[in-house]
Amino acid sequence: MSTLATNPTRPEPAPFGARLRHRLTIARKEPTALAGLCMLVLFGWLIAVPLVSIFQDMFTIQTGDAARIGGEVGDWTSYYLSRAFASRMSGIIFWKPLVNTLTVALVSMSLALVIGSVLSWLLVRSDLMGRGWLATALIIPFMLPAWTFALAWTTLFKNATIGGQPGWVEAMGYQLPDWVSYGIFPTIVIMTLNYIPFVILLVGNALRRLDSQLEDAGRMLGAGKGTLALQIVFPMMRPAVMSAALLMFADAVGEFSVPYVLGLPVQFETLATSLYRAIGTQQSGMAAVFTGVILLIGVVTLSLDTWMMREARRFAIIGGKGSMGRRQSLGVLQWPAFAFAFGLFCVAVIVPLGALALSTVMQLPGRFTLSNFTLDYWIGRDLGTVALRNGILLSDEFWAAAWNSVRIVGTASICAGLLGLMTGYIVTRSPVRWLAVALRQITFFPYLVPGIAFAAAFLSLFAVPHGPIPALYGTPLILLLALVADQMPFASRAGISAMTQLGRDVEESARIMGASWWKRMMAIIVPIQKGALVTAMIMPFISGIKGVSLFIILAVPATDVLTTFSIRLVDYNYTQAANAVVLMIALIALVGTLVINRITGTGLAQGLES
Amino acid sequence: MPKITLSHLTKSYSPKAAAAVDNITFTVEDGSFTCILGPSGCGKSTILRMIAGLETLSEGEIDVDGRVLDSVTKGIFVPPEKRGIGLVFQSYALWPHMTVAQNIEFGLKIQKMPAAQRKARVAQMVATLRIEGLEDRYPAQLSGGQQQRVALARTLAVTPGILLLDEPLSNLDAALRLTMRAELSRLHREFGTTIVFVTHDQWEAMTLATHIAVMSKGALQQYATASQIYEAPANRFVADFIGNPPINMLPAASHVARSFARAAGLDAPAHELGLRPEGITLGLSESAGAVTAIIESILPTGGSWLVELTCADDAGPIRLVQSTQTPPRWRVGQAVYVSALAEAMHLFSDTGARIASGVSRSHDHSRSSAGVI
Ligand SMILES: Nc1ncnc2c1ncn2[C@@H]1O[C@H](COP(=O)(O)OP(=O)(O)OP(=O)(O)O)[C@@H](O)[C@H]1O
Ligand SMILES: [Mg+2]
Repeated sequence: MSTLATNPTRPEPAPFGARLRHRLTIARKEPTALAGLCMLVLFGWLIAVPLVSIFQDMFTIQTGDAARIGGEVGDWTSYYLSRAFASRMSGIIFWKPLVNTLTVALVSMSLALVIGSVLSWLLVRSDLMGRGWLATALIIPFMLPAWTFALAWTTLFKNATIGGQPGWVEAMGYQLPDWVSYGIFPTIVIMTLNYIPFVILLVGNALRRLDSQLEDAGRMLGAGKGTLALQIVFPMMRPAVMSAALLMFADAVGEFSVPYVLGLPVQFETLATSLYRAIGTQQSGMAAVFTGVILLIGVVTLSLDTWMMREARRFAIIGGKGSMGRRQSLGVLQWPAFAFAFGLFCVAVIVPLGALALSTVMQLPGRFTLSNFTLDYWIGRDLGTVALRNGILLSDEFWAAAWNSVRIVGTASICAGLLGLMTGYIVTRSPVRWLAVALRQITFFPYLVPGIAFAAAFLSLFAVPHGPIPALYGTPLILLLALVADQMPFASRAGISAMTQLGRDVEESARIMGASWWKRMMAIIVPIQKGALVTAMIMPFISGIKGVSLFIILAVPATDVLTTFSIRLVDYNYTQAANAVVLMIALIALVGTLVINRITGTGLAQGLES
Repeated sequence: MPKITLSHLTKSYSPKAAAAVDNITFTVEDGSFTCILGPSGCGKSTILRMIAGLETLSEGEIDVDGRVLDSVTKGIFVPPEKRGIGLVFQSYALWPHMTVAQNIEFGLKIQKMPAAQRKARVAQMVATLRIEGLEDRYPAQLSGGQQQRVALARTLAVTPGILLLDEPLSNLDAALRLTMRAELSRLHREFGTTIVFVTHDQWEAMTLATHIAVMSKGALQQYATASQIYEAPANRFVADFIGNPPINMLPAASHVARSFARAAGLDAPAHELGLRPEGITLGLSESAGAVTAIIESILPTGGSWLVELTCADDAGPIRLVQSTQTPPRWRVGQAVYVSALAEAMHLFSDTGARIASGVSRSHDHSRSSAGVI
């Protein structure tokens, strides 16, 4: 027997119809593509449709406006746009908040960038003493909700302009002008402090990678220090710096809680607080305009970032683990540098958290006498207040809100984690390429949309019944769905990176053995990806627990969670109780972050970058 | 009884690139041990994956015992989990979260085998593949060779009628490789499975296989028994690829080639003459068809020797390599007479096809005359 294969006959290629039938048969036996399609529909509904709907609201007459505008509800109108951009009121309604928003975002971003870069260099490239623990300590603000600092500021610097208890400084007898107590100045200070860790993480990481290349390049080319800095350091750092800047900027544009807590007394408005007020006063058309603008700014900056990230990745591929070789000796600058870093740690962590913690055990602010200290706000009973009559640890409202937080955010995180792993699976395994690409992009999209805009979009879509879907407003379900959608970027990225690292063969070998798709998922993929799944759940959990934007718009008293509860306490001027709740949230977020670091061993920087 | 028929099997990963597997047609006989042999990237793994159903066909048909598993024209596709074909991956692909015993048991659970029977089967497989004592370890705690045996045990446990092996020995050391080869031979005899085995180690193929399919750049070059592949290579590629050291290729028009061919009775017009290094004899006295050459170097290769020679020729010197089992008694630089055994010679056309082969004088009567096939 000897088959020679010199030019065996070649049959006609199979006709298109047959080829298509073959394809379909394969697709039918392989549910990955089908599952991908279902996921795409789900995310389309959760992510794309709300955003489209808000754009629609911008151009159609909303309920209650029909008489004023002249037309039927649902008619096309440019009323909202012209009212925002070109009416007599637009200065107050729109342009002032826009200018405020951009000022806060740009100034706090620049300040954070400068201070953060200096700190990164000190931590990574110099022999700063205590840099080991400082590197962790200076990151702490990143793990806390931004408005923790806003509350701390009020606790310290509130003046007599609004009622309630004065801040410590006033209580000690100093008069404070409004601009120190409220408005743009404290907002900028707090956002700067909150963003510095961002810069330390991103720029510090880039600096660390740079090390080996710097030394190699220097040795190879014999380049002078100046040339080196100009030709290598600068271009290599640019993507990280740009990226940190854009991320901060986009985040600042959507930031709601800090200007809300600090701006209200002096009518300091940003786009986010205006949006909140528009929703609070049932002006859904104007709310849509604000959402649209925030969204636009977010999309523009973050597509810039994605583009920069691609650049950065090109560098990252070359970069190895960077040997931590030579460090610059600080010499006489050692002490000033240490004072700077340690001072920042005090200002950004010790003082605000300490003030908050102290404020919860003091009856009157700023009076440090023994008789003034009390644990009543934590565990007291029958306090002489109107509403919250017990200390928060003994109050039903607190535990109800805590339970709601854990229940809603927990469920959402579990869903997000599972969907994230599933997204990773489909993105890496889909036989249909466009499906993978579409899924990857749509799950990333909420990252481009500030939470407050997203919540408004959700409200606009799900407040009324649509076909078979009933109105969801006021139910935990709307919060759940919004949280899941909002957290998909983290969850899907965790899922994608985990699935990319798992070879196909592990699943294929189970398939060969006769395991069905479902069986393969349950017995092979999920157990192997346990760790990644936990990360994909904890990450959304932390960010959900400390988040405000979604809840402030979508929660009603029945679905009170810790964040809305504490904001309500602020509104009632129950400062101590509000601070106590915030401390509890901070505690949960902090512990959660540390747990992730333990489990994954990667640290936050990777989570931000990948 | 499983017999695999591949017809016009074609796979292109992208419309722009050349097909990874191009119009392959051959039949793997029931109970045979077939090797797919070829240089890296020629499409061996792709063929196995297509037979297993893990890779979609661009063109062609696969059928097993008359049952069509996959056909583009007929629109049929039986998914891998329904094919009942065993595949041992080159990378082993053990499940990292399961112990050795659980790995082996998995397929049996899928087949819904009762627990007691499963236990017995696992014990049997563990004994067969000599991995006793490792049952409770995780794959990460095993050596490469142990992992490989677990991968085999896992696949054999479900007794597939067809077993596909993708370079399963390539990561092992020489000694372990020998044991595993013996093991595979034994398993083949014991279980009576049809085995298709991918390797790019020709020696492995020659010693294990009943049939060999030689591939190059996605196309099948020859499908035949091991000895036929060696003795009657279909073309220049097969002749060159099979055999170590590789066959000597001389221009057929050269004085050296013509005198060898004439002595062997090969007179077909050809482009090149291939001469196996084993078929070269050296001597100090002249004989029919012998040419003179100078010894260039002598390399011992553990039990055999490679002797490099140059013959003067009109168009420039011709280099030859002789391989011999007896210690050469020549000195470097010495002049010798070179003659060639007829059965070590093959003539190839300018397209690379084999035109004729020399026939051993002593076996003249047992073969058809001037060996044109
Ligand atoms: N998923 C893929 N996408 C595109 N091209 C591929 C893919 N898989 C394989 N190829 C290409 O198909 C050809 C055949 O690949 P295959 O893996 O079958 O080679 P092989 O003969 O098994 O090689 P080796 O001996 O190195 O394992 C190669 O050129 C390879 O680059
Ligand atoms: Mg291969």
